[in-house]
Amino acid sequence: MSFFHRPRYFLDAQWYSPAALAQAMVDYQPFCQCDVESAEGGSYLTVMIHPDHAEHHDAITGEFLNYALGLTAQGNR
Amino acid sequence: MAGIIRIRLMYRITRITLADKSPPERKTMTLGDLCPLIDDDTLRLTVDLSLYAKSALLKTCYLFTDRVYVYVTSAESPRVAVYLGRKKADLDLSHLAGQFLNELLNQELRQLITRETGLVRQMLVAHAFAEGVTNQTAPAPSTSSPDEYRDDPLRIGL
Repeated sequence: MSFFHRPRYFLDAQWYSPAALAQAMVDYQPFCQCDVESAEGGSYLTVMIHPDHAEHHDAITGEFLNYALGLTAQGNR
Repeated sequence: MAGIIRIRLMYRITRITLADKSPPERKTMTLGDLCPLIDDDTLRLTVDLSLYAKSALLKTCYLFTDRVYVYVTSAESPRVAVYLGRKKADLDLSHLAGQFLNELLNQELRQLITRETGLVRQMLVAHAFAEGVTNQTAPAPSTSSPDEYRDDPLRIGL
């Protein structure tokens, strides 16, 4: 199983800002439903891919993480 | 006399013993050891944040998002683990890891140069803008008549 096939990731707040994460969740709503659980130093992200896009599970998860990281890099804190 | 002979003998034995000792074997580290594959499509890189700035790493990760899926997470302080998952099957991950590390160094160096020369650059830009402002003069009044556009010395209108 690919690393990006995992459903749950710990997102460190210094690499994935809460604002970036919130924005990514909104923008990726057509592809997946995300659940964020606060934790010390960050949050746990659970990605649930819509059944229509199940065959692209890894790609959607990977792109979601790229997008959230990109938003953080662009200063969306 | 016997003492001197004994010392010479000891000296020879020590030399022979030292000469016999072969140098310790050194394990050659490869890029693959530093950046191991964790599955067929994902590679794990560890970056020491005492050597590279966080912003340099963030910019590098962002630059690679067109080729790989990137996941960054804190490891043992001050280290950070970066997972790179290939988007296309034909992408050589070990080659990409090398490119990633080079780019990280490039970004770090850019920041260092900015710190060293930022003030000079700022002064140059400010000076250039200031010159532009002071050299501005009022536009010269037009001496041509309002009907001048009707003139056609090259007879283009024919």
